Parts: sequence; structure tokens; C-alpha cells
Amino acid sequence: MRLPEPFGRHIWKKKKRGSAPLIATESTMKARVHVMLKDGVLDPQGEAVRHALGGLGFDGVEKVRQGKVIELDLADGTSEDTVREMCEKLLANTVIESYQIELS
Amino acid sequence: MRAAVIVFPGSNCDRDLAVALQNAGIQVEMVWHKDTALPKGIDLVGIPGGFSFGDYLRCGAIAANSPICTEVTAHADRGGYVLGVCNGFQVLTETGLLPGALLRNAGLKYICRTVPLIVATTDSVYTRGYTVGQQIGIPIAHHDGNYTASDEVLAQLASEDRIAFRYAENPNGSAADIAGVLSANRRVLGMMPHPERAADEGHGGTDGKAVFTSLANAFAAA
Repeated sequence: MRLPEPFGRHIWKKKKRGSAPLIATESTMKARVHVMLKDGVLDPQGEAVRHALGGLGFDGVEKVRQGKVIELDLADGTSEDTVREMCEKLLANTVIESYQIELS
Repeated sequence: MRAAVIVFPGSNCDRDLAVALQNAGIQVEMVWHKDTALPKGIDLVGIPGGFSFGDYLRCGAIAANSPICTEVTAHADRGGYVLGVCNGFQVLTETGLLPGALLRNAGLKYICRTVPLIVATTDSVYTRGYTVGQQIGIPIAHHDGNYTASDEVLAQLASEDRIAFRYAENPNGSAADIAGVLSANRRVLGMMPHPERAADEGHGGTDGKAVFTSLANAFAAA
């Protein structure tokens, strides 16, 4: 069986180093995006955490929802609308997740 | 028939998918995720399983926003065929080409074993080689294969006969036992089980082979 040509040829090409600095600019603006599974979407991880808390003797934990926080350092003047666009396009999957934006 | 298989960093079933397609007589080209065009004259795009971009953010989310995916979406919009397996299914839901999303398995464990599937429709180029209700054994290997969608979407999928495969014994909590779904035009199929891992005698089973031979036959007849 001959595999198609480009296998392994350009796939493992090494990236050029040193082209972009790790931190481009000093920014003072920050956004914090909270991403949570929507209400009604089963959260098996949150459920497992709830069980574990019960096992540790913490009574009365009725519900646990687990989400994530994404912190962004932004260029000054970045609008909330732009951050919202980031959420819609990538940071959250709005089929199952909701998000909240905190700017500071 | 000509197919392109997309390769993302972290794809690990790309060769398997290519070989399964080739063994069915389909000409295959591999396409790197940074490419900005699909090869001309492609009928099918295969999006393979694996862990594209390390499953960072969400499974398939980064891949769905890679340069080639704009082309894959355009290909699908033109009426092209797209087959996404496992991580490929996750990518297709992230691009919006297929409805719903794939959550963490209900049991929270990564599951890697052959599971019984029921063929739910034969009305697609991928499933024509089976019979409705046929039980087949296909391997699954995923951590996030728990299919979810709104009740309206689930009802729509059922009423439009767009559920391609169901689990006979639901391993991951998927809504309505869904293992694979079709797009509205029936040309895009996403499925968590790996038909390319059951397409050769050496795999220990060949129940997945008909997906690829059905495809090849559909184009040979056209």
C-alpha cells in the first residue's frame, strides 16, 4: 500500500523561531471571559465534583457546575463588542455554552 | 472519485482514513490544515480522528477555525461531501456544518472498545451499503462523544431521518443514542465511531468497510 505523497513531508517542518516576541506590547486592558455550560446542559464533570464533595463529608452541596475562565490582555481601546465576537467565534461554543465578559 | 483528508497537528487517524478510502478505490490526497485551498476536483473531504491542537479550549474548536476549514465549509456549501470521524465529527459540529455538540462522556472516562451500532438510515452515500436496523461492530475511542442538541434539533434530526447510526448500548450518554448524524442535504456525515478501524481483515472486523465502498459505489454509478 503506497500512501499519498505529502505524508510526513511538510507536516513536521520545524517552525521558524524568534519571529514573534512572546509578549508583543504592554497592555493595560484586560478582559476576563467566564464560559459555562448552559443551564439544562448536563455537566458530568460538575456532577462528579458534587459527588466527591459529598464523599468528603460536605453536606448540602446540591449542584456543581464547572466552567472555565479565560483571561485576555488586550490592546487599549479594544471594544467589548470585539471581545464578544471572540466569544462567539471561538472562546465559547454557544450551542452548549454561555459566556460573560468582564472588562478591567 | 477523489477525496482529500485534512491533517491537523494532533490528527492520528488521518492515515487510517486515507487507507480505508484508498482500499475502496478512492483517490486520496492529504491536505495540511494551513493550506488555503482544497485540491481541485475533490468530491469528498475527510476529517480524521485524533486530538487536533491537543483538544485545547474544546475538542475541535481550534481546528474548526483553521485556514482550511473555511474551504471545507465552502466545499460543503457547494454541495460537496464531507465525512468527519471522531475528532472530525467534533470539528464539524464546531464549524456548524452539523448541529449539536459533543460533551464529555457521561461516565467521564475515555472509552476505547468496539461497540454495537444500529444503522438508522440507508438514505446517504455513506450508509447505502447497509440495511436499516443492521447491527454492526465499530470501535470507539473518545473522551468527548456525548452527543447533545436541543430538543427541537433532536426532533428535527429524527423526523428528517438524519440519524445515521445509533448506539445499541449507549456508552457515553449521547442523546437519543446518537452515534452519527447527517446534514440537511445528507452529504455531510459526522460520527464518533471509527469505521476506518474496522475496514480490513487485520482489524479484527470489517463492519466499517461498507461506509467506504458505499461512497465509492455511489460515485462510480454517477
